[in-house]
Amino acid sequence: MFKQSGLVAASLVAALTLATPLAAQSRSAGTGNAAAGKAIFDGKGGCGACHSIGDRGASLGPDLGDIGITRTPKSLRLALTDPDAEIFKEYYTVVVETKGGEIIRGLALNEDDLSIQIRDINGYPRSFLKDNLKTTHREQRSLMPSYASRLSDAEINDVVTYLRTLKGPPLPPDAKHPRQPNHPYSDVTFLNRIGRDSEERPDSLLNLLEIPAGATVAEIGSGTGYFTWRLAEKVGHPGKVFAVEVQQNMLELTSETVKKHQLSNVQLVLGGEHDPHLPAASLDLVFMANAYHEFTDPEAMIIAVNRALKPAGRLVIIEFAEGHPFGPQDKAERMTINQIRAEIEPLGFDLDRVLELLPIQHGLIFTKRP
Amino acid sequence: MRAEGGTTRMHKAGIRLAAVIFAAAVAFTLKGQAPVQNSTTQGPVTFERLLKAADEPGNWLMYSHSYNSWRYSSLDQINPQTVKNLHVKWIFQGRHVEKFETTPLVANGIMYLTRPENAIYALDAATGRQLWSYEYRNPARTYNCCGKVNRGLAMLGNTLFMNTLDMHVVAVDARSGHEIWKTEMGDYTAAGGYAAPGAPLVVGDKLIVGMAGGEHGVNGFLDAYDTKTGKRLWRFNTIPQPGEPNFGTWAGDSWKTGGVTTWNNGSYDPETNTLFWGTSNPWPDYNDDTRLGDNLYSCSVLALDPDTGKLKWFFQFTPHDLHDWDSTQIPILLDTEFQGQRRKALAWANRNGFYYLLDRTNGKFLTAKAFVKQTWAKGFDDNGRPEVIPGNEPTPEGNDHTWPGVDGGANWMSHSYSPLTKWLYVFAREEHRLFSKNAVPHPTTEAPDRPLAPGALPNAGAYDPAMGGAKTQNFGAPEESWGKVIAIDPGTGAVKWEHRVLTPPWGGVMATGGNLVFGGTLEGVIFALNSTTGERLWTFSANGPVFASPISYLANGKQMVSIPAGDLIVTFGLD
Repeated sequence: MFKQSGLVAASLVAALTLATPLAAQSRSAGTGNAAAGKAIFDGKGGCGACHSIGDRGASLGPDLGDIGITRTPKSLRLALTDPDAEIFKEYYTVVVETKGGEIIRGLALNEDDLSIQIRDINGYPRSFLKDNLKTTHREQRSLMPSYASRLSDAEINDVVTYLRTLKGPPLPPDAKHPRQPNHPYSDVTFLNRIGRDSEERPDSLLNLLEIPAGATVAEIGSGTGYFTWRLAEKVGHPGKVFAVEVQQNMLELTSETVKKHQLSNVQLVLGGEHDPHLPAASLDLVFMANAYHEFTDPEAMIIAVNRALKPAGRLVIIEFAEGHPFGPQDKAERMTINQIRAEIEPLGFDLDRVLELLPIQHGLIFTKRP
Repeated sequence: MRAEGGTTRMHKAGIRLAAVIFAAAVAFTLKGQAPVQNSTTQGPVTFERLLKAADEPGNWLMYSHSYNSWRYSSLDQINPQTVKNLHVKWIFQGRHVEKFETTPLVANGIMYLTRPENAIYALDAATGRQLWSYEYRNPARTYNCCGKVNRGLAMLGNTLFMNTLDMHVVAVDARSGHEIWKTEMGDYTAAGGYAAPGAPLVVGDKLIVGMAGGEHGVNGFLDAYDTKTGKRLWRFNTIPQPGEPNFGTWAGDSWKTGGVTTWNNGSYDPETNTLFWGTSNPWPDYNDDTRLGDNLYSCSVLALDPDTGKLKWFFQFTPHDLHDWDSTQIPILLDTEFQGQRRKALAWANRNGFYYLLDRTNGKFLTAKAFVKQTWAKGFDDNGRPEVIPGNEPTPEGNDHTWPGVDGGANWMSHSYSPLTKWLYVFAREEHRLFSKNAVPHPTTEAPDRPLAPGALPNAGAYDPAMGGAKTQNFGAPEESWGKVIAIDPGTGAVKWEHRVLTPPWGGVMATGGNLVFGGTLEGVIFALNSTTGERLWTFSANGPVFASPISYLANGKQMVSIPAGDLIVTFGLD
């Protein structure tokens, strides 16, 4: 369901990290009218001439069936107004020039040393023998026209708001996680493994979350404090991090790490199995990495998390991806995107975004539903 | 000028020189050519025949055709004048999803090939019709790092030899396909798992067998078995054990799980009775915290006495490797001019991106020259030790600026040396990838330690059966990675010409007496190049990735060229 375009994901991350927009503005779920946006999409925007949504539609441009959770509103707005800015490599424009001087633009379908196959701008697949071509090259440009001058700001907002409603096909009814109750994770060796940085990319991940300085954050399942100290440095003062653990011995390990980094804005919290013991309506963000699948009473915990979040507060869940050859082999320690969604969304959350940064984990950002 | 992916470059002086050599050599080969061989009149494949395998161009009696591993066929019916008429004569349908990495053998009109996982097929070499098959059944779970592949057979007398993924060696009667003996090399489940995907090599009455498992914290070796009984005659430990010379180049106990495997084929020099074999990288591949030191004999070539398994000398190409740059390329033995002197040399285009010339009588370093873009070494001292440029180490979140990438400038697929042009042909890989200082997996973990392509999922494989072919890594980004066939002057390392292709290859090359170089790309374009100019003269679109190296032989007096592509073996000939 989610197309992995890793090469681009990396550059996208770089671009997003460089930009330092006002966090709230960049994350806003779109202030337009989704129905009006759909009308533009289907009508004068002509978007359906190139894009499909799910199984139906044209195939010149990328499928937009889950674009609402793979791109931020800012990124969608940019794609509409400046399509070349964040282009995936498979959507570079291929330009072939025949020996007769004809120039054809399209998208690459296939290529070898003898020939190249493209889909031309009318949507037709075409094949060219390289011996019959003068040149072949790729332009770091999109075939998509810019809508900056075709649509008003308000109309673009409407389209972005509509695109943000596209979150993939409905979740299958059986998408629940085969949970192993009373399975608290305490393999410190695993948490301290040397290569954890390359697998979990903690710095890139937290940068991507654009947590503003001064925010109040909770980490549930703080473990050895691997993310705790990084979160604490991000929020600084007067920000605050609640580090929650249900295991006292793990809380002590968190504490050691916090001391090592000489941080004074971390509050240690011994949580319960049904309640993380967090103050109500006080948090900007709740972060849990490789912890959610361990909860014995996930529903009660997430309801409590929802209560502890401020309006429009965010919940970030990181879990090892089910079916991936790397990471823990135990199925109980891995989840699919659908499993996470099926359990979280009914409890007062909307999926805001699926991160493409992490090589062997899923990263999902939810927002508290108003 | 052709469009991207089809450009050729050449050295003008080289062409003139080569033309002279070519004319002289054609005259020589035409005169010296063996008479047309009848497919049925020859007897068993004796060691005497193996020693002179190059003189039997009608057959392909060992992995690299001859003990010097030139992978050169002196057959010249297919040449720049006739190659345009080359066409498919027959196809063998493998009907499997795994990569075909085999080099078939051809003896007395019969082709013997291995099919994944560990089956042997005997075919009529003229028609591809099956004569018999043998299937060795592996357990469901084997510990191969990179596919359930096998690279081919060895042959002596009327017996074929094959290594298996569960660490056995089997001897099979070449007339019937019946098993003669079976020997266990070792416990395939030990440490993180052992496997034996390579082709064995016959030397005298011994069968030399290598092993794999370098991603799983094994302890490497090279074995010799009695070809008659399967009894093990010697074992050379590729990591010096306590009490052996060079023990102590591994910090602490890291030698116990240091890898250093021997998963490809070797070469043999009858004149000095020396066996040459390359070794893999040290384990853990990208994380050296626990294995400080040179980590001998990783990333090395070993010169061994085949009678005893005793080490004569070794040369380590990449001391303390951090990039999975195995030195398991096939050693190429040739005599060449070096600085005005005739040398008995060993030519080696290494995975680390450098072409090396060594004196094969003593392992002395003669010269090294990069044959692909490289960023990690400034130069070499007199002993051939690289002067390493800092900043190329794997980093926690990943380093993507080091060239060559994890799969190297060269890998396991064969290079070829042509006595006609006196050049070495290498199908080289140009790319950079992401080197992450990964977790050290427990030696018994199931997950091999592989670095990530830039921004990509781990093990985003180059082979995608669902697409029926290759996932071209450079799709849309030809500047990120590409492939090239190059002709190297072995005495200097100078590149004489280059033929660029779209994607870094996984296939090897074969030069012929017809002044051609054959090979195939990851997209399945099988090609013949003019070996003096690099000009592409002929292609065939097999549309399945080539993960193997070509061979040539005679069927009823006609030259044939065979190469696996996808799950097919495609054999070409003239009318």
